[in-house]
Amino acid sequence: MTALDAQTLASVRVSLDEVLAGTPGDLSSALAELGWADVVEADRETAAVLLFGAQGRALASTRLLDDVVTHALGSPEGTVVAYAGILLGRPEEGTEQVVVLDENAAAVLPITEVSGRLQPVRGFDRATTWHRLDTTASGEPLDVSAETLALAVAAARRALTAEIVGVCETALAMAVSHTTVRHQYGRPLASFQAVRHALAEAHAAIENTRATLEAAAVADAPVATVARAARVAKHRAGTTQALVMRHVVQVHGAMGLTLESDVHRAVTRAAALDVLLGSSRELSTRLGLDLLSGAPAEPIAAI
Amino acid sequence: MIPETAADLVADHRAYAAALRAHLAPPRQEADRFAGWRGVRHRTTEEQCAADAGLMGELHAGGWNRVGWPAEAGGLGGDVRHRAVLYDELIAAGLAIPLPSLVLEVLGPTLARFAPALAAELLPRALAGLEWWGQGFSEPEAGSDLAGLRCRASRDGDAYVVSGQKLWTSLGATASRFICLVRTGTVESRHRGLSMIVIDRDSPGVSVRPVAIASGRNELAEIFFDDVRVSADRLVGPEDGGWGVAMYLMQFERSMYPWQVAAAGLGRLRDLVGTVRGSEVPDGLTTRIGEVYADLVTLRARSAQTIRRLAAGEPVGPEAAVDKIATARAETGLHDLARELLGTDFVLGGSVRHEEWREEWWYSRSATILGGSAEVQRTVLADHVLRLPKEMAS
Repeated sequence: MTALDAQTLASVRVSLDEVLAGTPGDLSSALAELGWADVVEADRETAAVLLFGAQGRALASTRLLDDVVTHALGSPEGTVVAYAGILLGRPEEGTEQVVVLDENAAAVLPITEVSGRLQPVRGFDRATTWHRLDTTASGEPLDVSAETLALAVAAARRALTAEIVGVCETALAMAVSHTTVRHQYGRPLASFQAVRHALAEAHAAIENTRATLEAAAVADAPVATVARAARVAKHRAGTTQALVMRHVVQVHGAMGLTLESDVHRAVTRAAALDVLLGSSRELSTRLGLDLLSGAPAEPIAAI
Repeated sequence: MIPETAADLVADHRAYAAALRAHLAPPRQEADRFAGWRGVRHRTTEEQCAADAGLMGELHAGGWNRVGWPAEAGGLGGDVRHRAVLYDELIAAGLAIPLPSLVLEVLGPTLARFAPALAAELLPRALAGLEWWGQGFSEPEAGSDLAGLRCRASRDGDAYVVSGQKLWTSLGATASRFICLVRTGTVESRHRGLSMIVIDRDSPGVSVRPVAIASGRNELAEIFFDDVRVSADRLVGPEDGGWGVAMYLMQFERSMYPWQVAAAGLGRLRDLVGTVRGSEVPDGLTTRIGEVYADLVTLRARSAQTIRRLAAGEPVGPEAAVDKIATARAETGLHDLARELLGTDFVLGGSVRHEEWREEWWYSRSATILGGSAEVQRTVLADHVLRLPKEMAS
């Protein structure tokens, strides 16, 4: 599936986890030190799955997704992205333009027109760095083909799927560790069948999402298929985070609802990632509408 | 016959897929050799099995379903990926996955691995549709709890004498052989005292009672063994080594069966969406259509991974429970969607199509039961993958 061998993949995974658990400010230099450019060069898709998986596991919030989009759109340096009006952070010094991205359209705004129209988000995730762009900011249509746009959205959806998988992995690990240590009625919580089955379902959902994501990397397929595959993957990630977080919160008992546990960080991070570029519900509705209007129920995954 | 480039097709499952697609497509000029099977469905499981076996015979005559099986067992070489491709292309061509192949995919690789002589004798006949088999695992006192099996096989000279009963045997009503897990050790030996053995239906002392599921179709059967003598060379794997054989078998039960469900399910979803296209779809069901489609794609993506691992000779093990959970979700979801979309017609409609959806709906309920219940799958993941503290015995 990839040009990188299993051993390299495993060691890259460990290094990425270290980098993303560190200070987010040093991210680009830390990645450069890791020789990240070479990994991307060898296999861009696998690199994205690794990087966003690590970001998810670390519950970190960065601007890395912008790189996926700007690369796919061929945007110049100094471009940041607004996902249906959401920016992943306040644009840094030196930013020249903002690409406003939607499923069917992309527009570009010079940074000078953006600065006064940005509001920091105060939302579900209390620690978010996200900003919202005021809806009157429309900009000039971006000069890219419909195919390029569709491929950029699909690449971003695959990256988000990888990240949600990472967040879910961390949440499940918290639940496994909590229920193994915590005793009730004289035995570990994780020895009760209801708890064991909930965690097993969470594991199955995560692994099935990983498989769906792998199948969605169909680079040589027609653009419509690439787009559909990415919708399915992002939809799957959304249903998975809903299931995983429901079970993880439940098995933590009241502890899972507090600021003292990290569970809330996973719950709110996954929720935020679910709404970017189409929630699971929006995407399944779109998939259903497409099938009803004659799109093929194509299998996507090849063997 | 398979074209002279067969060696290329055996080496490359994608080339095989393309050649097979061309072979299965309805011809423009000459008569359609698959006309008797295309879009045809039979009223009883017995008739369906016979017709499906005929389809296997037709595929076998051309060599097509011999690809993917080892030459020592009547095949032409290639691997499990070729077999996956075959089921895909059958559905794409408006044909069905032959019922006997559902069981063959579970038992065939097991015979080939643990009983080469038996595989050489029996597999060619099964591939040609001349016979099909039943999988005799469950018993009245042991459904998913295989270690509790009681059907006994006692050694007597060069034979075993088998006494006991099997239940819920798929295709049991018409199968000509049963591949059974039997107890050769004491009951207390649990999983250590089991063996796998092939028992011919026409042996003295074997009787079969078909079990109709609620649709009225004889999908299952109950098999009774009354001091049945079975030659010792019918053993699959070593005596008392049946558990290991069964665990090997589970990899196929939890990988190719899911793949077949996904292939057939995508075909059925296409039919269903075609039926309601252009009419007003009730509130919420458009989203359900999208969800069921996504569930089928996920199932297929997961089983594709698993089948690739099998093809590479990697053990799949307890992780295959993940495939089984995805299968149940897709299979039950699809048929519940059909029930909701067809509404009154699902319950009262008199057409063959409505009858078919009703029958399949009942069969779809087995997705959370057969091959280890949904609860067993979750326990397998909790024990062997997540390694959670063990559940306490009551």
